[in-house]
Amino acid sequence: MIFDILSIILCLAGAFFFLGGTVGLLRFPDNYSRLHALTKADNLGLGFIVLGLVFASATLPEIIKLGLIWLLALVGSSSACYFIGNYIYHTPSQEEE
Amino acid sequence: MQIFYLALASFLILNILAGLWRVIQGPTPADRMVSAQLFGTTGVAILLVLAQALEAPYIRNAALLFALLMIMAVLSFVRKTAPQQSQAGDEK
Amino acid sequence: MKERRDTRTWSGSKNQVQRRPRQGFLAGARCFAFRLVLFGVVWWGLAGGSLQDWPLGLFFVLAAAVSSMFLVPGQNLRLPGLPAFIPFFLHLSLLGGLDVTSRAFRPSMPLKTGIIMHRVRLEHPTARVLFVWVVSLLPGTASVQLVDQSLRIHVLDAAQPHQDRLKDLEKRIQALFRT
Repeated sequence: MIFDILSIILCLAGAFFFLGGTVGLLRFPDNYSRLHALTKADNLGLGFIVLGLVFASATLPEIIKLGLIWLLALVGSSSACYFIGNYIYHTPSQEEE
Repeated sequence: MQIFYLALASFLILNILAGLWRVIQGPTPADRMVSAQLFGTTGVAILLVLAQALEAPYIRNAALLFALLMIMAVLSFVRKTAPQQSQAGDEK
Repeated sequence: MKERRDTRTWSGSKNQVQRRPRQGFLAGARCFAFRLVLFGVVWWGLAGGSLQDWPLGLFFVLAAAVSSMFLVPGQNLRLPGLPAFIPFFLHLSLLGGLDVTSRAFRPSMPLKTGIIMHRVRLEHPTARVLFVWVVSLLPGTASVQLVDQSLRIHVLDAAQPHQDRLKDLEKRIQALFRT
């Protein structure tokens, strides 16, 4: 029971950060800032949701698998941030809001 | 508990729908790609939550694949569309 | 456009990459054993804890360990440094997420974006990649381009003292590697 409550709290925290990332993506004025919002907020949101699911799931292999998925998403998202940032830097800004 | 996870998954799907607005709006290809990054991370979260809600552990494999595909998508985008960067095949 | 051509070098320019001196047999064996255990745990987790297909798993774990020894030679990691680094990293990414989320939610949306340059003193290729990754998760910074020694960083709030934090991070990453 206590694990259920903990899981709900952590998942809600994750959902909050996902919402923050999406709001940032929609509101921020330039593409660098949008990149910031997504990379940081979404990774943190995924981290919290994975942690929440760890409390809900039972066995050690499941926890290892969840951890692996989170690590892969973290590395992927962080490199994606670098690559897209690099791309923006090299692209002459034709259309700026 | 199951209801909670299903609600959480629906909420995350709403996030993806909101991200679609940015894809349509643009204004640059990079913005659209940033939304693709959103789809990747949020998609992983949705699949993990669904795996818990439906008690179907095999959905986690799809989540793993999603995380892999996101980085592939971004890499191919950067490689294909970057201007005058034709150094294919060197270290990343 | 000389500068443009060099942008893909994450882990040092090409003439910097040198073959490390051959490690002793014992160190190599230890590294191999460590990787065997690591990939074994990964397989166990991916298979969901079932050991039904263990011959297949054994084959892939062995293949992964052998090919990783060729592709990524010993990293000179200092594993005891890891327990100190992980809480530091989690703390920073929590701060980073809170920072950017609060900026996104506030109606005034305080942004003062800018680009700063940071001189990277790390030598180890893996350490450099790790640094580039973690900078993107720090509050208010995202790495944009790393050429040789200088890392171009985009910041959300140019008024914050980013340099101190970057130096601190660099020191902590340095502590993870034996040089």
